[in-house]
Amino acid sequence: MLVLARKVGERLRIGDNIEVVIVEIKGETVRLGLTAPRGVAIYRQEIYDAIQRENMAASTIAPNLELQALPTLHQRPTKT
Amino acid sequence: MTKRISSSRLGELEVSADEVINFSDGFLGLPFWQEAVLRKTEAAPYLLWLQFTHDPDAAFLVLDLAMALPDYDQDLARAAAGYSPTAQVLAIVSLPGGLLAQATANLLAPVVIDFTPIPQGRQVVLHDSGYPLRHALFTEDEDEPC
Repeated sequence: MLVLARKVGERLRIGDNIEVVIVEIKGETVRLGLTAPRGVAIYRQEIYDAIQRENMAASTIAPNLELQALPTLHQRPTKT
Repeated sequence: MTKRISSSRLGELEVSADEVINFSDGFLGLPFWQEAVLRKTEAAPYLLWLQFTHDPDAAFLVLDLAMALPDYDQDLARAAAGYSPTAQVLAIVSLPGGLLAQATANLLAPVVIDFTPIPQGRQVVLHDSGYPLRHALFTEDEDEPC
């Protein structure tokens, strides 16, 4: 793994199209600004892993699932 | 032009070329799920099958968010996908333990489909939106934070 030291405001470039800027360092938290072409998706690693797991789980719904016994949707705010 | 595909859930399907949705990025964990059609279920108008064409078993149960959860910010999802204001916004449904009553919808990473000019779709992640990975659909359980 390549390890580089950078100061706040300094930048990195990955290839020709991806730019990373160190926005802020506060205690143990580093804030990064990322610029990439639209086709390049950027994820926090733990979100990437969670969505991958959730997609895999959703891909295994039994073919004989009986949808007729659908309960009533519970309406409530969607945001936490 | 039509072709026939088979589905473990829906049987044999007659599919016209202009309704096949292209997911050129695939899905996280399922990179080869790239071509699908949307079909209604008989259970409810807001519940659909996204049946992929490469494998009869490859399908997601999806929720039409405009119908099912009208307070959901569909424009946020459309903007994240870079699609038009008429794009359809869906959430992938999971059934923990295979139980319909325990169904959850992935509101953090919705699937956006734009039918114009050609049907294309992608799953997007709504960073820092506050939307949960598992929104319980039929129970009052608290959403699981992720």
